Amino acid sequence: MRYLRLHRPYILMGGLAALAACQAVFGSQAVAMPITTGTADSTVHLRMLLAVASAALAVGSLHSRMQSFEATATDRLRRFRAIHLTAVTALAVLLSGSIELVSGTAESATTLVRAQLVWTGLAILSGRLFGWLLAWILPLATVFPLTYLGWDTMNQPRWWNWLWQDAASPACWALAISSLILGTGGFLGTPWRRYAYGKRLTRSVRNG
Amino acid sequence: MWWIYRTEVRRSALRWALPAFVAVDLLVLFGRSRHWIGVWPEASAAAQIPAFYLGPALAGAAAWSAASRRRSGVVEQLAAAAKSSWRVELAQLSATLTYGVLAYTLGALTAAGVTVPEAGPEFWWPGYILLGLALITICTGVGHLLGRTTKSLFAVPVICALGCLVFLGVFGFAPGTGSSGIGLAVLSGYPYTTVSALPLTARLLLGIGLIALAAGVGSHLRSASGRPGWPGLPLAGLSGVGLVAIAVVLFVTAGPLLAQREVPADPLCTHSKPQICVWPESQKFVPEFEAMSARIAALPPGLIKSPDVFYEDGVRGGPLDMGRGFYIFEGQTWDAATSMAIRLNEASSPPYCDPVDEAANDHRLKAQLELISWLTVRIAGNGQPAAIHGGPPGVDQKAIRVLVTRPEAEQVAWATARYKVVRETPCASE
Repeated sequence: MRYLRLHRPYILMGGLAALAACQAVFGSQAVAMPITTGTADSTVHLRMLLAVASAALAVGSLHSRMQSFEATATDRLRRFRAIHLTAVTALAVLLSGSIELVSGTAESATTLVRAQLVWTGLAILSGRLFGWLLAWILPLATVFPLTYLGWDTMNQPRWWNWLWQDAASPACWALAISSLILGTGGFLGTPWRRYAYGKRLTRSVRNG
Repeated sequence: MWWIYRTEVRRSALRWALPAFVAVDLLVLFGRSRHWIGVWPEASAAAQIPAFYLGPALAGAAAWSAASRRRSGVVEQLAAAAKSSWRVELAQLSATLTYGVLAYTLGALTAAGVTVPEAGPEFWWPGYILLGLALITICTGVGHLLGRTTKSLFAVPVICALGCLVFLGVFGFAPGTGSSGIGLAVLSGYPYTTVSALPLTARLLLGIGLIALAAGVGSHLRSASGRPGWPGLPLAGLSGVGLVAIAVVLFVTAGPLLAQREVPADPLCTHSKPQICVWPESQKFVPEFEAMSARIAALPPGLIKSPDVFYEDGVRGGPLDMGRGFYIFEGQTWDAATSMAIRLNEASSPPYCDPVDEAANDHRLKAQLELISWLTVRIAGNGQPAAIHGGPPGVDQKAIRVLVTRPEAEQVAWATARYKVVRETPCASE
C-alpha cells in the first residue's frame, strides 16, 4: 500500500486513460511528415505516437521521489517494482492493442503492440541510463528514423521499420524481443549490481 | 547577464544532446535524397526541414530544462537571487535555444557549402532558413513556458515534444500540395515560389514574443511565495504578452506564407530548338534540357508538331497550372518530360471536340495516353527513374518501353495508327 501511495497510481491511471481516450477518438488522425513517398503507405497515425507516450508513461511511472533511499532497498522493494512494471506495461499494451483491434484490423493491432513492446524495452533502457523521469528519450528519439529514414529508394519500408513492416515480419519481432531483453537487463542492472559485478570482474581478472 | 548565460550554456543538459541534434540535422539533409544540392531555393528548403524535428525536440528539452530548479531543489535560492528573475529565466532559455540554433545553423551552413560549387554564389535564399529558425524559437518558447507553469516533471516534456510534432504534422505545413496548414514549415522550395516578407516577420516575431513571454511570465509562476516587498509590475511578462498579441494579429492578417515570384528578367534558355526556358536557379538542369530539346527535335517531323518554347512553371508569370509549364520534381526531369509530352500531343492532335458517345471517348483517350507515354519516354531518354512508379491509367508501360527500342519506322507506324484513331473520332455535331 505504501508503495502505491508513493507512486501516485491515480495520476498514472488518469494518464493512461487520457492516452486511451485520445487513441479511441483521434487515433486515425494522419500526421504529415516532411517526406514525399510515392506508392508505399507512409502515413503516420496519431495512435503510433500515442503508443510511444504510453510506453514511456508506463516505464516512467517507476520514478519515485525517494529514489536515493530506495537505492539501498532490499529484494522486497525490487519485487514490488518488477510487479509494478509488468502490470503497468501489460495494462498499457492491452489498452492500446484492444482499442486498435476494435477500430482497426488484427494486423494493425499486432503491429502496434509490437511497436509498443519495442518502445517499452527502449524506455526501460533509457530510464536506467538517464533516470526514470527521462524514460521517454530513447523511444521518442526513434520517431525520427522511423518516420524519416524508414523507406528505401524503392519506397519499400526498411527491414527495421517496425511501424510499417508486415505484422509477421521476423526481423521486427526479433527487434521487439531483443529490445525487451535489453530492457529487462536494464531493469535488473541496478547500480548496486553493476558495482558488485564490476568488483567481481576485477577480482577474477586480478586472480588470472 | 552574459556570465549567467555562459554558465547556463556550459552546464545545460543539452550539451549531451547536441551531437544527436547535429546528427538528426545532417541525416535529414543527406539521408533521404540529395536532389536539392545545386538549386538554391531547394537547398534552403531542405536546410529548413530539420527544424520540423529539432523544434519538437527542443520543446521537450526546454520543458525539461525549465523544470531543472525544481528537480534539484533550488527554487528558494533562485527566488532570493539578487538578479531580476526574468534575466535568470532568459539566460536559461537562451542556453537551450543556443544548442538548437547551433545544430540548425551547422546544417544550414553545410547545405550552403555543398550547394555553392554547383549553383554558384549569386543566389542567396534565406527565406526558408529563417522560417525554420522561427519554428525552432516558437517551439522552444512554448516548451519553456509550459515547463515552468506546470507541476508535472514527467509528462510535460513528453507532451511538449509530441504535441509540437503532432501540431506541426497536422497544421504546420504551408498550404499547397494537398496540405492545408498555417504555414510553419515547407516541404520543398520550387524556384517559382518565395517566402513573403510580412508573414515571415510575423512568425519570427511570434518566436521572439513567446521567448519574452516565457522569460517574463515563467519567472513569476511557481516561484517561492512570501517574498517580501512590492512584487513589481511584471514588465517583461506584459511586453511578452504584447509581442505575442501583435505577432498573432500580424500572423492572421499577413496572408499566406508562400507567394509566386516575379517573372525572371533573364530566364535561362537552351540554345537548341525547341527552346526550353527555366529559372536561373535551375541552371544545373540545363545540360539535361539541352539533350531533351535535341530529342524533341529528333521526333518524327511530319507527325509530331512542337511548340517553339517550353517554360518552367512561373517563368512566364500568370497562374501556375499543369499544362502551361513544367516543374522539376525532386530533381528529376521525368515530370518535366511528361508535361512536354502533353504539350506536344496537344499541338499534334486536332482541336478537342466532344465525341458522340462514351465508347468513342474511351477509345480516343486510350490512344492519347499511349501517345503521351511514348513521347515521355522518348523525351526523357534514359527511361523511367526507379523512384517513379506507374504512369497514365490503362497504359502498358512495359510495352511502351519495348516500343522505343524498335526501329524508327515501326514507331512512326505505331504512332500514326494512334493519331488516326484520334483524328477519326466522330464528333458530336454542334
